[in-house]
Amino acid sequence: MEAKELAAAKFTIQRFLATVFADEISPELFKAMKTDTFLRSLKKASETLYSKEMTRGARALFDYMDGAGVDTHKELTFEYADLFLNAGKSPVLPYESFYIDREPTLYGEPLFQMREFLRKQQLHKDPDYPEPEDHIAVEFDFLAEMNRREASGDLSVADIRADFGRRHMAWRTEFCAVLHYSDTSGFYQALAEFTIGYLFLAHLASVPPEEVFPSDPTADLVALGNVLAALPLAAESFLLKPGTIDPAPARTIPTHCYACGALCGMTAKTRDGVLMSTAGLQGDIKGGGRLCIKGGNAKHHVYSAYRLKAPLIKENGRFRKASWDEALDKVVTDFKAYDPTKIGYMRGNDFANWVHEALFDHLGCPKTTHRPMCDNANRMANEHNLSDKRPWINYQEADYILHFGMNEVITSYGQRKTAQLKAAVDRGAKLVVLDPRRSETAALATEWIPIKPSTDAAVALAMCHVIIKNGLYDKEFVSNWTSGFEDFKKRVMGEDDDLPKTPLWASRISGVPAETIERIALEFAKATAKGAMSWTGLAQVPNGMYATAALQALNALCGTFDAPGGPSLPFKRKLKPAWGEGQEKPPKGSAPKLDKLRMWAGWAPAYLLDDVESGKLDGMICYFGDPVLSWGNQAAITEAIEKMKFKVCIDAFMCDTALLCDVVLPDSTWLEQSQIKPDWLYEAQISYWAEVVTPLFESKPMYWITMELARRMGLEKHFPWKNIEEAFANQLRGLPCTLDQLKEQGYVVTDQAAYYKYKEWGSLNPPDGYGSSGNTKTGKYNFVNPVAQEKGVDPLPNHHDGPPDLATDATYPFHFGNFRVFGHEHSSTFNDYSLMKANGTNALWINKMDAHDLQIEEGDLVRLKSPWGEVEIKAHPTWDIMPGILGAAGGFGHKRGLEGDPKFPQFGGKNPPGIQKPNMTEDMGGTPLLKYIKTRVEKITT
Amino acid sequence: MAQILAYDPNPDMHWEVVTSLGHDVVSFNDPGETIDYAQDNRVDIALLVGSEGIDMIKPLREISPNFKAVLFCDAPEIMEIRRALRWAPCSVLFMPIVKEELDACLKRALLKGKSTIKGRLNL
Repeated sequence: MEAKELAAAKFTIQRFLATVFADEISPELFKAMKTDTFLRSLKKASETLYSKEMTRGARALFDYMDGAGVDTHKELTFEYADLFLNAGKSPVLPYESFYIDREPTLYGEPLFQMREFLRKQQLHKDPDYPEPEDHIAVEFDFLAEMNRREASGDLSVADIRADFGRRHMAWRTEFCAVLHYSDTSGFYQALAEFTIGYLFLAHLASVPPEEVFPSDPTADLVALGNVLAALPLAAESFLLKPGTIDPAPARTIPTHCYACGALCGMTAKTRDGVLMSTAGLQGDIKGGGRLCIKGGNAKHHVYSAYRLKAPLIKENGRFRKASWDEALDKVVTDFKAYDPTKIGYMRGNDFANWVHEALFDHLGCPKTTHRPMCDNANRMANEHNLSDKRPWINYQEADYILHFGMNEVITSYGQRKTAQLKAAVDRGAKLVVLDPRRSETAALATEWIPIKPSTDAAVALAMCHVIIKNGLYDKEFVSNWTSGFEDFKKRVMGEDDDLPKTPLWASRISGVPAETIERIALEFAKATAKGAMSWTGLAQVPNGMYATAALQALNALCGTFDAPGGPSLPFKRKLKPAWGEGQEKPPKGSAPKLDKLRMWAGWAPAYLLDDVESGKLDGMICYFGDPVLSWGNQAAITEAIEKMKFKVCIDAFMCDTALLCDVVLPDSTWLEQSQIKPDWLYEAQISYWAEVVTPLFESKPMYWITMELARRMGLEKHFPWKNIEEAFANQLRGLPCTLDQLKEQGYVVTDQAAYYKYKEWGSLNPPDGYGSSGNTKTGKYNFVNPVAQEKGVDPLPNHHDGPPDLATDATYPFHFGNFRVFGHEHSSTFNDYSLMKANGTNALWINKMDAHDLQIEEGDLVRLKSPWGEVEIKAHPTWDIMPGILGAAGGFGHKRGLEGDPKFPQFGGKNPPGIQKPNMTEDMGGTPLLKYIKTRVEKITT
Repeated sequence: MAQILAYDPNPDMHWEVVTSLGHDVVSFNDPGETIDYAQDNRVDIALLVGSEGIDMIKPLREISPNFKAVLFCDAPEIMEIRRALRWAPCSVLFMPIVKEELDACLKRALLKGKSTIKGRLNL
């Protein structure tokens, strides 16, 4: 057999394999494979090949194609999306970088080896092909190209081709096994058999003939090549281009993390345009040169093998690939068919929100954000009584720190602040944590005080009672910088409701001993540098707003705002509008108010099913959030989305919400798009997010997606920028930094930390040009919430029992609450393999006494039931949670991605908050009651 | 140089290719003897052939949970490869052994340290 003839045969086979794995199978190729001529020759080959492995593969392909019907090609486009575009449960991950360690992170060492290999052959991957160089199709195409050259007479490539084939054989074998396992159509199973037959045949052909005698693999290869030669395959390489591309220079790029809301400074190192590592950014006010596990593993987020790669459109209940033009045209056409005031716009993440919110506000879509899922109850107090949702405590100076329902060490919001908290405890500052669970912060604390959920207001008011009764409050501050003290005092002392808020009163409600309440009140009042703070532990329960107000009243009574060791008043700079001179921001449309909460006027998404069933919402565009896993009762939210007539999701991953949508648009991750953002901790700075790497696959930044939607809607005049940097330049007008400075340093500190800023400002509100999330109408701390007063709501803090139907009872004796783990952020980090290795599942925390009574042991499978749903989960008996309380880490439970992939059964958790009462929140801010779900727990016996 | 344990049910199998790469190899045709040897001796990596070779990973991992193993198949069947990948082998290679391929495989497997094995796939 001539080498050229063999090379030509292998060229044809490899080109065929490159073609079928590079993209959806084309209608032309499918049609050609259905012709009688092709099928006859394939069948004949399958009957005459010597190799039984290749015979099996050829026969499998024949059987499938012979039985294929008129709808088969369509079905294969769905299957391709499932297998190759990560729409399905078990994607095949066709990259050598995955198989090198069988870890689902791409862009590993094989990518660089492949690039180098191509360079040596004066080739490069076609930049228009959106897959990386170590994609199986590129490797087959490279081999095809080498065989083409050999068949054309260039025998010098034979060794290169043989060496490459050997070095890249093993992973392709494993790929075939994965493809065979994952396919549900039969077609790709047949291809897997066919491919593995070919690989083995090629292997046999590569060793000396005497080692495989009497078989003749070369004859089989030629026979197979002749069969496939009848197909319409590209004569020239279709994934590779001639010429070399030099490696991009290594770079160290200052940027910021967006894994969570902490927004720590970050340096990103790249090699040949690929993100290699991330580390802290020195001097940045948020991280102070530190990054947590999430930021440090950002590479595994960007290069997660589960990224969405191309726009997807759902047909007949399954996704297929679409072009951006087709997908965007469909979104706009469908959107126009409905009343825009009935299409909700949900953005879970505010990356570049200045542009996408402008579009949907203009269209009149009701909008919701992360806020009413997180801590809106807190905000309904702090943003009206004070000037910000959450003034951070200056731990560096503090000697007494009081945390209510807040796990600072894990929740962090800035690694510099967390480090300062730990250092403060190390140097002897007292940290007191009130929490039903011995969280990581409670474990660090000098004192952990277990407290029943939603009773924090009682304890905080009782502390105020002690402080006021003993005359230990800061009379100068109260007199000059607070409003409504006398009314508050009456409430605390029981003069307005005949109910003095004594420690004994609070003890009966909260379970915290009265002596403890009295003691910590006195300790707090007598400490010199102190601060009290709360977060979602007080928000995601029925009495959140009042508990927050009561807690913050401790700071007001003691005059801790902006004092050393106290909560630092925010004063971040305001960016100017992105619309410059002569540019017209789109006017706001008139979005209807959907929900009737007592304080919050916006859309509270936990009521989604009500809103859909009552006709207020017909559809939704959801950006970077997963309502199904985070908005409330999972079944109710799912039902609501299913009932919608129009549903679009923009995300980097196939989240549970995306699964329910008709169109899914692949968003770039935050390391593939840029923004500028003002921020603060104790100082203020403007932070920069660099486009560290070019968006992967066919993903696009939200800026681009918004511009394209606007253009299709005829709104281009309102979105006039040549590029995003023009908009940035507009935003920075008049501010003490330039875009070039931000790009060079990653941040520019605009204001240094200062004590007692309010004395200079003459108000607790920051001056013009500075922003924060709230505003005190009096310029002072308001013991009496002025907005509550306007709305006819009791403006003074108090303890209120939750709704009777949410209280525990004989049938449901436990209150369940979710909590956060350091290794994850909400529901957005569950495709990062490194984070999942550290935190790959969740368990139900139950007090050991309760577990003993229920005969539950570590690792037992239990059923957690509420009146509104149930979930099965493994138990974790522990002393670190109060009796009567259950807990589990939140964010788990994805159907797709690493959690849903059956190839990795070690990963995957449950979503216990999804069994909360449907259409239910706390009644002020619309926050779901994630930490107040009445439940019972049953051991599952098999 | 690594201490390599080799198993092939075929008594005619020879492992000169392994020694030619500079490694010490001890080979067996009997599964029980192979496991016994692994129990009592230092082994850096095992080379296991065929379906019986796949079966041997479980007892080897009982000796050490991170026991490294390379699997070989001389008549690859996709269901067998799927089964093999559940046991987190370093690699699944075809017979006859290609020296360069084995060399690259061993270097990579041994480079990653004693306690690290590749991931397993539940196929």
